[in-house]
Amino acid sequence: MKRLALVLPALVLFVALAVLGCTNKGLVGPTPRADDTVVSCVTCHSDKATLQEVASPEPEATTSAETTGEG
Amino acid sequence: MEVWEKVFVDDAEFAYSTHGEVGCVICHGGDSAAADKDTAHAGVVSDPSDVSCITCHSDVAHVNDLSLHTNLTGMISALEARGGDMSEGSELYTAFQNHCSSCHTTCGQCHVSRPEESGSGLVSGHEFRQTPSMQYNCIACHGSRIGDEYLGQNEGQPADVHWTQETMLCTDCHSVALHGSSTGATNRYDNPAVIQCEDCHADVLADTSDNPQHEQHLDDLSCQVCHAVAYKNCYSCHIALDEEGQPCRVSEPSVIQFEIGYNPIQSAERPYDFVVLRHVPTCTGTCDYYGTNLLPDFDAVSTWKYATPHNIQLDTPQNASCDACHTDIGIFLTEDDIRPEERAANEGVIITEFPEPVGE
Repeated sequence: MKRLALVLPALVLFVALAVLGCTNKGLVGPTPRADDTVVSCVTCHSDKATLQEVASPEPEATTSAETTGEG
Repeated sequence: MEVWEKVFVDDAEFAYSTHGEVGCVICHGGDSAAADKDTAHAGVVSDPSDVSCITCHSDVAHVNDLSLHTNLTGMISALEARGGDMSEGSELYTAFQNHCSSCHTTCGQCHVSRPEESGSGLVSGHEFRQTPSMQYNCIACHGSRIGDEYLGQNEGQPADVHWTQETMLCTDCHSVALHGSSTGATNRYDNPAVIQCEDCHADVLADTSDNPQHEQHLDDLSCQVCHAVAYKNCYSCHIALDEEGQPCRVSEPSVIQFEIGYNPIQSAERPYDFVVLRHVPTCTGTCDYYGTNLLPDFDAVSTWKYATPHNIQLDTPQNASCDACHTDIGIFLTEDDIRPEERAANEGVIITEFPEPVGE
């Protein structure tokens, strides 16, 4: 009888945890993914070939060629 | 660095990082739904630090507003101390805007990309680096003097022992103080959080009994007087606009010198009587292109400034013996070392009494 008193609560607890783990999706789930906005920007900016193809020439340097000495 | 490399996000996983989750357009603007490049980039802000970082990092960003890296108070206060009129629209203000105002940094230019002043470009994809890169961030701006000294790139001068023996990075010493102090500062030493040698070398202060030089001089000489070697000094910088209207500057070649003078910023934190001094590029005619006498009180501030050269050595020529320093007049800043037009400005730092030889 004493053994049953110990086993029964443990069994109830086990079943409760199992049910909670299977039904509460908020506790476990996939890592949130970035939205489409992020992916679309990064899609181009992580594609070396695309970047090379669409790169604009860099603006001319704003430092004068007459500058001498160290800054 | 090729232009495409500057915006190359080499790790697409960035999109799923904490900052990536925020979304590019939230910080940079633009139109992520657009199919062509020009439309997608309309209104894009390449460095949105000024408005974006503070949203989540307000604790740091607010303090950073008081950082010399951000507000350039170090330069502005030096000009004002020389009587310069820095009010908006003044000739000096125009000069400052043309030549000096670009020399500052933002959150992003330390933690994401190279500084604009050194050509911009992402340092490591779009990774937000808590610790800036010594090579691509710190030395990108502080290269010609501090970087060259620290890495031993001044001809005939050794690299700093903190680099050669410990490979210490800039941020190992210069950490939180870089974000400024809550009270603001007028120069780089005006911040209680700025590191000092004794913060790490407390043992030197605790017991001087085994070092007679420390016992004698710990209070009256800055550490660099004995432990730095010759460093770079710059002279005669003149700023102007060239024929095409581009800002330019002309200065004389730098000179490697070692000069000990009186301490121009003596304080409780820096009580030394004698310190190492470095000549700054400013001269009486620096701003003459923009007007006459724009620094009417030029003599109010010395052109030989308190310095902490980053080429520290245990053994130096001047600490080889007592008389190695005491009898070497050449390492002391004298009137002969100073150009006539700058003598009045440096009156307070010129050594007038030399140490006596001690025969050791």
